[in-house]
Amino acid sequence: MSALVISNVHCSYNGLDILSDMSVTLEENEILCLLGSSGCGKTTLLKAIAGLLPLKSGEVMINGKVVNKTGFHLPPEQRKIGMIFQDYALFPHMTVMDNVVFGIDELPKKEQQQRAKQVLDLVNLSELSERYPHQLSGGQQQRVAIARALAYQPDLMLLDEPFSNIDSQVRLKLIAEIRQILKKAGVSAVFVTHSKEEAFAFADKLAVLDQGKIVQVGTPDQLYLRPATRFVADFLGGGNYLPATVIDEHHVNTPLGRVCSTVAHHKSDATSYDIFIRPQQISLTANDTGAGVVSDVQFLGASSKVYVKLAQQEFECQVAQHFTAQQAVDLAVMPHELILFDKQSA
Amino acid sequence: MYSRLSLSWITSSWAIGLLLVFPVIAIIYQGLQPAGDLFQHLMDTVMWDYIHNTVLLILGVGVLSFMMAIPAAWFMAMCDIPGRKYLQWALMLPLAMPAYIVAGIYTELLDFAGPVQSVLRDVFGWQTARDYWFPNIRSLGGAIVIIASVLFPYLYLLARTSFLEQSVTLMQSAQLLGKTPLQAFCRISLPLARPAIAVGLSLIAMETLADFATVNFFAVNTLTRAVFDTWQGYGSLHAAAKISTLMLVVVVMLLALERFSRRKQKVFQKNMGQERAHLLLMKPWQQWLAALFCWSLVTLGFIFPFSMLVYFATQYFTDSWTAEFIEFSLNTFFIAGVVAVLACIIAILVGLFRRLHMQRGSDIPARLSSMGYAVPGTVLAIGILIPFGWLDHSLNDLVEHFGGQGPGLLFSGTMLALIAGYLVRFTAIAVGAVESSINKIPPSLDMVSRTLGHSPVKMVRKVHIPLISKGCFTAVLLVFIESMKELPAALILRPFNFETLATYVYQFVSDEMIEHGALAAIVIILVGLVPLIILSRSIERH
Repeated sequence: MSALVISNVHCSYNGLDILSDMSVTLEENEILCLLGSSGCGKTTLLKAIAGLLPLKSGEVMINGKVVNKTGFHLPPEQRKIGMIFQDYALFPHMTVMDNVVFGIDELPKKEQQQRAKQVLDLVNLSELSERYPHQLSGGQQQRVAIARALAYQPDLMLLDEPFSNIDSQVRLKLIAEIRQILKKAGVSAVFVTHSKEEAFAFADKLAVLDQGKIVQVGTPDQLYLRPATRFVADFLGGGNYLPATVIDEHHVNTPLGRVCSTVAHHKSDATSYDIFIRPQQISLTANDTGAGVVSDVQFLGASSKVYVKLAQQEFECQVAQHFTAQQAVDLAVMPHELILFDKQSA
Repeated sequence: MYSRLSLSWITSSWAIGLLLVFPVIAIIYQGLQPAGDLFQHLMDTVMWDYIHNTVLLILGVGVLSFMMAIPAAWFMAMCDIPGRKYLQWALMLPLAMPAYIVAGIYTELLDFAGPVQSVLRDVFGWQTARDYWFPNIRSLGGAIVIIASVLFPYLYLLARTSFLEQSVTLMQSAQLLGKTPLQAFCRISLPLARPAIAVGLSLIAMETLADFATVNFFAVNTLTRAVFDTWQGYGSLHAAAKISTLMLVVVVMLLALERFSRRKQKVFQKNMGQERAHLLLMKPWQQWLAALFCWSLVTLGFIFPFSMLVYFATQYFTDSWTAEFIEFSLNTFFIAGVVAVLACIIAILVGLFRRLHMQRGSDIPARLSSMGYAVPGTVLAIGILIPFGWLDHSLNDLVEHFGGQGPGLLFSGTMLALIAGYLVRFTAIAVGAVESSINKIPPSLDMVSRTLGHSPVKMVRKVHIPLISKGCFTAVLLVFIESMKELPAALILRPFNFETLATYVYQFVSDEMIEHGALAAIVIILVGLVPLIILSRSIERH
């Protein structure tokens, strides 16, 4: 049984369509990421799932139970959903313990304590249970929010930009930690972010949103390697667009010379496409008579981002060697699975 | 930034601060004197009754205001009820209604000879008051309803703001954790708004304590009435001061509660500024019910009494538009104008003193000049009479000592007393308005003008005064309006045969002839609407 099925969901606000015709499915114990720039409707979708916003049409099913369909809207308090807000939404007038048992206060006291202890252990906060939220760090507050949601034993966990308030230095560590907690607790989760790094690190499945529509759904590597549209390609990490003409199943011709594909691309021969080449797929060699000139270098540590000017176009390359500005270089594209888009009609 | 100010500025700031706090000190001084026979007699007989009634009145008004204001604030903050845009400011309107005017109108309507009971008698064939039971509006209960119906907006405004400032996600979280909207309200919103509610209730309690006109009209024996009666009836300033001290103790307690709650308020507030239109999804009939509730509050406290006044004013126009009415209006405008300008000048003086002097204690003059605001008008009037009476007596004694004819009551029996009383009571408003606009001037402007070679006085003239002119205007306006509306202090301090609009209207209310005072009442109410407009503007801007 799927943890969440969203079919043909429409949502509008003040007569404006925020979401149109959205469909996506989430399997049990899977983490789905809604990725998109701000204003694309990802948070709206999350709130619609939670029942905090009314739908215009469409159906939402959580754990096999219909919570939204035409003429029916299950109120949020009956949906069994755990939600982690951007600001964590901890009740400031309650201790960590009181926050955690808030959703389970109908259970016998003993069971409440037991479950609270369990989840607080899981998030490593057992010692801080008598503290108030303002006495905790941002990361601790977030873990309280997660503990509170887990104690409620939700059918589905929703996370709204959960890492945006966390220092970038500890963010990746925390993401790994929370992913582990969710996996250990065995909950399915949907989370929303605009950062592809967070999405890659946290999600099993990605849905890229653009202007209220889902553009592509798949595993992170699928989307990265085989983006369906230029938007997805750009959003998951920029690259270079070049005109390309198909030679055969495995080769195309580009201004950087012939490029070889590691898998067949199934495009018709002798037609023109735009090829999308990621920075790390271009190799550079120093050559005094090379056609390219290095215009700028950004040192990234393990590698460098090198901008090379060649015949009016600037190429973004990511290489391990070091180059200096004004250096002449040769460019070559390494064999990889090619990404070809139809020519953009101007 | 530290500026060396001329000695005259420093001394005048302190002198004004001390002068304005003097009445309060005078009362406390008198109050601490050993009790005289009259006070002892009152204590032995009626005093406990007065205290008992005052406590009941304050508690009753508090509870009733809570029941009116909190649901209204909650509906307005959380749901999209029909007519929300209009209700938002309509719910403030009752604040413009002086309670005694509302009391007069409902008495007209509901007492034995009024239309409601007459119709009931006609319909059921009752003959006398003994044939049926009808609640007596001129009672403690009636006073509670009337006062609460015009004071509840204080609580409504503060609670609504507090609800709006709470992060939406808190309510959403509670709902997602399985709580109904009502449960979420009781367990999250209400506790978080507790400091704001305490502030609102203490403001209401202070206003209720200070009310004289309504309780006097309804013949409910409270402490304000006791002060008034001991002075006007027994002529004992001493006993009046002793009762006033008692009231000051209550005021101080309420003020402490207010301050304490305000400080607590800061801990919790954070707002993500999100959409809240969908926060509480209500069925249409529930929305209409909520709207009906809010509108009935507005009707009770404003629409109905105001329309009655308009009706009376048109019916009795020739009786109302008299030479007296015009004379008393001019009196009122004159006094209020003088007080407003003086208060504003004082506010600028002590406000800039605080800004420029920048030494420990330089804010004390401003604080001292604001002390009078919390003091009930009746008590304050006694506080003015004590020193002024003493001055008059000394002056007359002195003149007579040298064989002359005493000049009479130069201080306590003239407009001087009235102006002094208003100043003590309302300078706080001007200080607040001017101070907040002074605080908006960034300190860097002071530094720039000083480094560009301007003396403090020149800087004040060229930089500060132009920048605070708007705040000064607000100060003048607000003090003007409050002075126009003030009643109890005017009743005690006004010179013989001198009426302000408020005392004039009150005469008619007491004589149960409110029809004839309707025009004056409308003027007072319309003027009272101005600060509400300013208030609602500033709320919308935030």
